Amino acid sequence: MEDLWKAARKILLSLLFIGRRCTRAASFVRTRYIFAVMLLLVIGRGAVAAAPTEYQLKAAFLLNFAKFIDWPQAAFKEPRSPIVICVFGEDPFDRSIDEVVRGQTLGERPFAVKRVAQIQKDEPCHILFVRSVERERFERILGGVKNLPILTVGEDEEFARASGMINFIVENNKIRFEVNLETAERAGLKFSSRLLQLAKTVRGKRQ
Amino acid sequence: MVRARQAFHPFFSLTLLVILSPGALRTSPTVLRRRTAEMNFRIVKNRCLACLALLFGMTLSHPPAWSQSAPVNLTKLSLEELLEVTIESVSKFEQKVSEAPSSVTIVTSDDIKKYGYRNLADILASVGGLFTRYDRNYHYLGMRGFSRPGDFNTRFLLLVDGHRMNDNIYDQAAIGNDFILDIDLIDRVEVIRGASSSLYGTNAFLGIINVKTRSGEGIKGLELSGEGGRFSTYKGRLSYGNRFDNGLDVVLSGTRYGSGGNPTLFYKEFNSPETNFGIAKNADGETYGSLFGRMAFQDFTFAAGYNKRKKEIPTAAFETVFNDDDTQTTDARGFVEVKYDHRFFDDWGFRARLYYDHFKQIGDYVTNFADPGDPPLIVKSVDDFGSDSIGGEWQVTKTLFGAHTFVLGGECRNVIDQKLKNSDLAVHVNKQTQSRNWALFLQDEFEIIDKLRLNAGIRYDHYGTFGGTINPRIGLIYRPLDKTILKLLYGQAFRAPNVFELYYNDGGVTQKASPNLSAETVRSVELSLQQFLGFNLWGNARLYSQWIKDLITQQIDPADGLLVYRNTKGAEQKGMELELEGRWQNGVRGRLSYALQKSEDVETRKLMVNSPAHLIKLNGIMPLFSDKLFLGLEEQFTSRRKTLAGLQTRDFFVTHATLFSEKIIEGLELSASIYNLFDRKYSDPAGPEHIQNAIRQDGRSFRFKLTYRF
Repeated sequence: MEDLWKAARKILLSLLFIGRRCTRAASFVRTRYIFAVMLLLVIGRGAVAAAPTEYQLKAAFLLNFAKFIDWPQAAFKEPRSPIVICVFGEDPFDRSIDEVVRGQTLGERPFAVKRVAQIQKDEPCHILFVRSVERERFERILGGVKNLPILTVGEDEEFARASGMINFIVENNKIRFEVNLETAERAGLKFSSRLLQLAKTVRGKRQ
Repeated sequence: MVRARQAFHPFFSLTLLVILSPGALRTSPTVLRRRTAEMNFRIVKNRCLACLALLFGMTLSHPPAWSQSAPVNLTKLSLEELLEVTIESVSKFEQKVSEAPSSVTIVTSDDIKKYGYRNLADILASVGGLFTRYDRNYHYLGMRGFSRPGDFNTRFLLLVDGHRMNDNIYDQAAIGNDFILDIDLIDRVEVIRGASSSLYGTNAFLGIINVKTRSGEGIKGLELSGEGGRFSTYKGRLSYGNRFDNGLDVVLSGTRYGSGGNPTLFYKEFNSPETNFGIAKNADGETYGSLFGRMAFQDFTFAAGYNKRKKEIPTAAFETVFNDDDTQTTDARGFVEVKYDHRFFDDWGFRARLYYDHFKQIGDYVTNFADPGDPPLIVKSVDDFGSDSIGGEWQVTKTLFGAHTFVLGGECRNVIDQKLKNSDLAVHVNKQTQSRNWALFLQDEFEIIDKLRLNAGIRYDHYGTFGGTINPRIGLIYRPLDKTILKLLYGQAFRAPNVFELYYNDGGVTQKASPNLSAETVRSVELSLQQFLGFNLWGNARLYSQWIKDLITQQIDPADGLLVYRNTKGAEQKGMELELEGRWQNGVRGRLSYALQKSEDVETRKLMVNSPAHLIKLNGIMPLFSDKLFLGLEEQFTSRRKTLAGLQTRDFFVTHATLFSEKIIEGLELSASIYNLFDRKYSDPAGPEHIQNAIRQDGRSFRFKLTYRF
């Protein structure tokens, strides 16, 4: 184990002190990298457009979904209880979702954002967003909130297959969504027909 | 000129050369003079440093995502209007800060297209810490410095949609063109590192390769693909996939492949007039055909696959006649399975699978049986090996008290026919034509205290041959911060002796059976740190130690001078793996990894054969023209490896480049790839069946590919 550490240390040190030990050839190579990085900075800047990021847009969608969904009375403690958007696990929105919901209300209800690492039975969530990186745990997460009045929103084919209620799809750089009505209805959520019209696909259609 | 430049022609400058002006960064002639080993090392370092600089440069190159405030109007838009907003194209970060009790690397179908991978071995060679060896017949995979030439590729478990694909004669994971699927049908490949027998049983020794296939919904229609490349290589594929309104998801696909192979291969060991001066002419051909189908309806899935591949052996392996293209192996494998997956009540999950597996290998070996000096007595010796098996597995998952997740499962496999037949001996050389094994396993995952999770599993396997074995795994997963995960993992695994090792013999001429072999075992400890660095970068550092015992090794029995497999030898591996992955809003993404490893024989304390001390992989994708044209570049470094003869193969860099275009015409994908761009000459260590010390790999080659979706 010791020589392993030695080797690792040597490599780290050599990386750190590379500048001092450069030969002409190496410094030539390095100059070119600096060029490369600088050029990339330029290219990189050019490539960033003013378009919103994927998650800024998704945050706006989450906010909008709330307008087209009826939660059962029992889902809120009082008329002014906030609509809580829970983000499961590692947060892709960073602060953009807080900015999107700030100052927004639906009737008398404000919005709130909560980051959760685990779903408890009494978790006061109304919308639960699950990233595709949680793929290994979709079934467990969705199983945990089954039949609870929580709108589950995901962004992965397998999330839809595991009966998530709304699933985002990115198509030609635009965001689409699909709806699973069956699980929503079982959980006591009512989707407005406008939401269903705009969905790309609706599974478990109403009779 | 190109070749002279290669050493000073690093990866990303090349990118720029392609993008910008080809002449802008000309190499000065003074730096082209010579390359010593020391300079070589410096170049390695330089490349690493530059890549790091580049990755960080890219991070800085635009404002981090979280600092951009949402455009004000976004919240005021209606749902209809939101549907019309265009976002920057961002691919998802597939690599998660995983809480799984092992370290996982994922390669997606998008990577397969944009890096121009040709087979599973190409995919695996791009993964940090993995290295391959190709002997112009089969591909062998190594990890953590372990991959002994002469052993079959048995220490990885290969799964396709959870179905074990290692055959039942050699237990070999077929990762070349003998892999059961056309890799265009892959949705993603997960490489899971470390001893994992606690859940998966035999062969999950060094790691698991879990291949998931594309769904019918993903294919959506008819897909026609054709490709052609150097050495008269062609491939054609026709696939159909769809998901119907009633929920039925269907995939059907067929592939044909043919390659003339490298027409003139030179082996200096055969450089004499009797053996065509060491040139194997037109003896490297390969063909395969494969079929795959799957139907999923509600809780049931039915799937079947078949692949038949024929490969000429140009290396005169197994003392066959040199430069005779009749020496070849034909491998055929197939499976049929039915799966059932259902959730009961609230939190019970049930999964079951029934399957039938088939494997057949015909080996044609053209051999000269004459004594030296006598007139040649050339005979084609034919091996006819195969197995058919049926099996089943089931698994129940249940969440208890909110915090516990239990998995209980079992498995049983019945090999109804296993045969080792040879034409010379004209008989079955194994008396044991059937075998059976079963297993039971249990796993629990729960949160001990806030942010500290324990994952523990244990599995009992029973084999008719050597009896039972118990393999535990325990993982402590600590997430002190939102973007930091620390893991401490311990695992044990085993590999059951395969049918070939147990029973193969040639009636006592050179080799005898060894029916009393027991399993080889491994224990591994790993400490891993996963960290998100800002929004775009993800890093992973791992330290590990592992101990292998009772390795099944072919030896000469001093009592009678016959070859025989015995449980001898142990090996020990220690090392460190570093990985850095980045994804940016403008579509740039890349991965850099470094592995430092040491694999020793426990008795002699000598470095093992075919064990590189350093591995560096760097790959990156860059959009050249919006989301329509991409450049995929890949650079791999493998340090020198010891060969069986005690010599060494040279260290080498190899570079691959792919231009990929889509969406220019709706439904059309085009790609052009150059492999081994700088035409490096490098070799992989040979096996004991070869006279050669090392087997030279292909130089620069190319491929064009066109896929059209109707």
